[in-house]
Order: sequence, then structure tokens, then C-alpha cells
Amino acid sequence: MVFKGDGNPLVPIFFLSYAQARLSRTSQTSPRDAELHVLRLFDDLSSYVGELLGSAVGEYPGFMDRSMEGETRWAPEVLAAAGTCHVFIPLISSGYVKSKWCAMEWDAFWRRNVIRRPSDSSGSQTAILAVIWLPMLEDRMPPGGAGTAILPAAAIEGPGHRSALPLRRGVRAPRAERRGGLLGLILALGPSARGCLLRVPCRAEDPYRHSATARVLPG
Amino acid sequence: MNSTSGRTAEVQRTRHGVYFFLSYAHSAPTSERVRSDADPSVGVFFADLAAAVAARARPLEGMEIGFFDQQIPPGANMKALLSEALGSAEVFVPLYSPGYFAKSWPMREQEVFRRRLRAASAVAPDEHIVPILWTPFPSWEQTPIVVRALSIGAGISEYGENGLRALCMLASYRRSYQLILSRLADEIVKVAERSPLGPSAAPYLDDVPGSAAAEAGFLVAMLAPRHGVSHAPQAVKGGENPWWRTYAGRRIPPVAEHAGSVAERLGLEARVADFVEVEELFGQSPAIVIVDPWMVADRGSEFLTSTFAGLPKWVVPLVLDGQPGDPGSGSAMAENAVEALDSALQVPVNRVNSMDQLDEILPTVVARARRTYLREGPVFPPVGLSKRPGRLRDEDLRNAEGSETDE
Repeated sequence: MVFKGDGNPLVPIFFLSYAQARLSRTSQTSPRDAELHVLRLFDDLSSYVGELLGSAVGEYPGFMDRSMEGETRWAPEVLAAAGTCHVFIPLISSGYVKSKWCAMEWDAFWRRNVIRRPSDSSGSQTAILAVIWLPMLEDRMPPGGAGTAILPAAAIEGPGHRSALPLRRGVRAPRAERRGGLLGLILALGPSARGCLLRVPCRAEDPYRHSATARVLPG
Repeated sequence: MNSTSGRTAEVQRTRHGVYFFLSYAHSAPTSERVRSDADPSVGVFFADLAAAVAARARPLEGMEIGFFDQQIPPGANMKALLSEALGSAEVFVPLYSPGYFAKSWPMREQEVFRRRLRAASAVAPDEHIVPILWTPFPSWEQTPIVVRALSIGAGISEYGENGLRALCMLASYRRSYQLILSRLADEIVKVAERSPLGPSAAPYLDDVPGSAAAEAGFLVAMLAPRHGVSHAPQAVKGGENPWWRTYAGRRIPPVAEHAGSVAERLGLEARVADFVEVEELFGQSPAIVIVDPWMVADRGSEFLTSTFAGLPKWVVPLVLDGQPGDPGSGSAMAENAVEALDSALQVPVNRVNSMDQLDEILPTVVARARRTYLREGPVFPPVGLSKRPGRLRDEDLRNAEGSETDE
């Protein structure tokens, strides 16, 4: 009864991609704090996606690469996760778009073939669910952004659902979405932000149910 | 599982009823940092529903408002208390989610309640079960059972789209949430007060079937001195040892049974047994081994070290400690046991000194054991592969048909 995709319990449903924080004079949060917020988002996302899909014991719905940026070789598990996960969730920030490592992760996912499942829902065109994490100085999406849906902040914080906006390569992200970002929302709302985070996995579920991204085994 | 067929929970005639029983699926931790197996929003919803029912109810003396399993004291006989509660509840409220239908435990709770309804010859049994859509189901997964859960949210589209869990968590859905709550509370009070069943016998959880799908196996092994309950635990300073308090005389102590129930509730088919009985199975099943530190007095620390050094990584030990801060022999032995195991395993060994603490870490430990097994355990081809693949030549086909073997 429960849709389980390929049935392999070790394949992550989603891959959370983020830029590891660098110490910045203008930053209001320390790198460690920034990492904690990402971890918190990851844990919440994992638990919500698990609830939505009925994950079994021992199955972790999410994957997050916690190895240090700058290592020259991909850890096998990162490669395997990027090659097998169903939904890719990049946390967009100016640090993210500048990061070579993040671009590699995005690219690894982007290259995989997408097989559309027959369904009546439009969903997103790819299984990349970009979330604006921090306000961006640059207006451009990372390469490979064509057809990628950006989850607008309003769809997370407000009542009702607005469908995510598909963007073409090079198109500017709407100004409103750049203002606070999801991290801004989390910091501003505190504990009550947890409810908002629920909307992200609901959106993650949609591409998961409606398209299958072909698996690429690490080679 | 030790099942005694035909056993029914003793329903004390003096026990009064309870308006509703909340049934839900326990979910295993979904990442390394998450500890609990119970979604906090279930607790929130239970409290809200109990308040809403209490506001409307005119209970008979002694009648309680609501029951859910988080009221069971740590280490108590979970299954017996659940059967008792299922035998006393007027209305059964299941929180439907994919996890609910995938697990045997919540389905068995429902089956126990249904059998009790039949045995009590309930006039309109369906009205005593009021299902809730906890998380949304896509339209192609909406079986008649799920569709029934939609009925309480008639006219509230957010309920069907998001499930009650989301309505409970998101402030923007407060109004819809309150509306569903009051409809549900009205329904519960109406059924409980106008067509009460009264407490009646309910079967034991182990004696009813759950979901059809087979659950993955899990072992809970007890490693304790052979002399059993009558040995040293009674001699611990202060008299009573928290692990052996109830069920004196039974071969498998309650702590192991309890761990088995927790694993079962997470959706595993748990077998609880003495270490020696299941030692050979560790190669093919994730497990936890509950270690009575008196093993150190009985067989020495080297025995512990050598035993665990040879076991697969998915067999996780849990050392029981005496009273917290007890300077008596119990604690010192636990220390020795932990040291002995540390040297065998080179990972920190879990140690618990109360049922509360046990309950807190069990879901994580069970999830970790199972995950390690999934990642590093032996791989077996599907059971359906019983014939050799067909070949081009007839005689090869004839030979193949004559010798069916599983790889």
C-alpha cells in the first residue's frame, strides 16, 4: 500500500546539500551555529518525510554530506547517495552558489535521467527542490537551474499553497524570496518555525511520488 | 514473542471505563540525533482531545477520559495494560498514516478492539471506531478505511490535503484543527454516553493477527547468570533490583520482554530469548543483548570480552546497572562489564540504570542495530528464486528442472 520506490531501504529519499559555513566578519551566526541549524532542518525533514512515507526501522530518509569540504575525492557514501537519492534539496545562499563542492553535488544529481511517472499532478520538472536558505547577493541560480523549482518563502510560512515557481537558467530569483530565506525564518520564529518546516517535506514528497530519477551507481 | 493463546486480559469488575483509546504508530528514529520513537505531536493531540472531551463529557464516577500508551509506566507489562485499556474504552481512535498500516502492532490494537466489540455484541460496532487521517494519503492509496477517516473532515479541505498532524502543528490551520477536534470530541461523547459498552474482556495483543506483510526479524537476547532470578539480584544493596521487580520466577525477566515489546512496536518481529538459545542466529539478524552485570561475578570479564569480540557489529549490548549512584556491588560490576565490552567492541557501550533511561535509549539502539545490519549484514537472494534460470538447450532445461536449489 505504501509507495516505496525501489524498495531498497538504504537508498535515501532526499539529499540535503548545503554550503559549509565560513567564518565571515559580517555573519551573525558562527559557523558552528549555522551548521546546527542545518542539522536541525535535516533532522526535522527526515522525521517529517519518514512520517509521510512510513519509513521502517533502520531507514533514514535523508542524507547529508558531513565530510569536510576541500577533500579532493568524494567519499563513497556521498557518491552513492547522490547517485541513488530521489530528491535533491539544495540550501541556496551566496555561499552555496560560489561553492565548487556544492556545484559538484548538484551536477551529480542533475546528470541523472529522470523518468516521469504517469500522474495527474504537475509537480516540479526535476526532482530538485531548491530552498532559499539565506538572502542571496547574486541573483542567479546555480548552473543546471533550468526547470528547477524554487520553493518560495511564502509557500513555507503562509497559509495555503502557492505552487513553486519554475525558473529558467539565469533568471533572477524574485526579490521577496531573497529577503529572509528559510534560515531567517527559523531564527525569527524560533520554536514555532518547526511548523513551517513541515511544508518543505510535503513539497519534497511531490517530486518523489511523481518522478523516478534513474540510479547511477558510483563507478 | 511468548504467546499464550486464548488468554484474555483480566478485567477487574471494579475497573471503570475510559471514553477513548488513542491508537497510533510508533516511528523509529529517522536520523542519528533523534532519540524518541513517539512523535511529539501525538502527545499534543492527545492532550487537546482529552481536554475537548472532558469539556463535553458527563462521566460516571470513576470513568476516565482518555488513554494512550504514553501513560504506561516505564517497564510495566505493556501488552497486558493495553489489552486492559482496549477492554475499557468506549471509542477507538486510530491515527492513520502509512506507518500505521505498515506495522503489525497498531493493527493488532485495532483487531483486539474489534474482537472485543464482537464478543460484547455491540449493537453498532462501527460507531465505536472513529478513524483520523493523521498524514495525507495520495488519492491512489485511499482505501475504504482511509476514506472513512476523511469523513470527520467533511467540508474542511485542508484536513484531507494535509492530514490532522499538519493541522495540529501549523498555526495557520488552527481554526480547522479546532473544528475537527470538536467534531471528534462530540462524536466520542455521543457514543460513550448514549451507547456505552461498559468494560468487557479483550484478547491479548499477541493472540490476534496484525498486518499481512511480514516484518523484519529482530532478536532480544538476555545474558544473565544461569541461576536466574533467585540469584544475586535480590542481594543487591537496598533490596529490590529495578530490573527484576515484577514477574519473579519467570525465565525471561521483564526488562527483556519490555525491550522486545519496544522493538515490536517499532515494526519488527521480535524474538526474546536467553542468549544461549539464539547465539547461532546472530549472523543473520540484528539484535540487542541485555547484559546482567552479574555475569562478571558468574563467568568473569574475560568471558564477556571474548563472547562479544566474536559477534557481528549489528549485535548491540546494553548493560544493566543497579540503582543510580549505588556504591554497592551492583554498580561496580556494571562498571567491569562495560569495560570488558568496551575492549571487545571499541565503540561506547550503552548502560542503563532505570526503566526510564531504558525507554529513552531503546528506540535509538534498536534502530542502530537494524541499520548496521542493513548496511553490513549478509545479503540473501529473494526467496522466490527457486529454479535455475532457463538455458538454451533442452537437456540443460531438463537437468535444471530436476535439481531445484536455492543459491
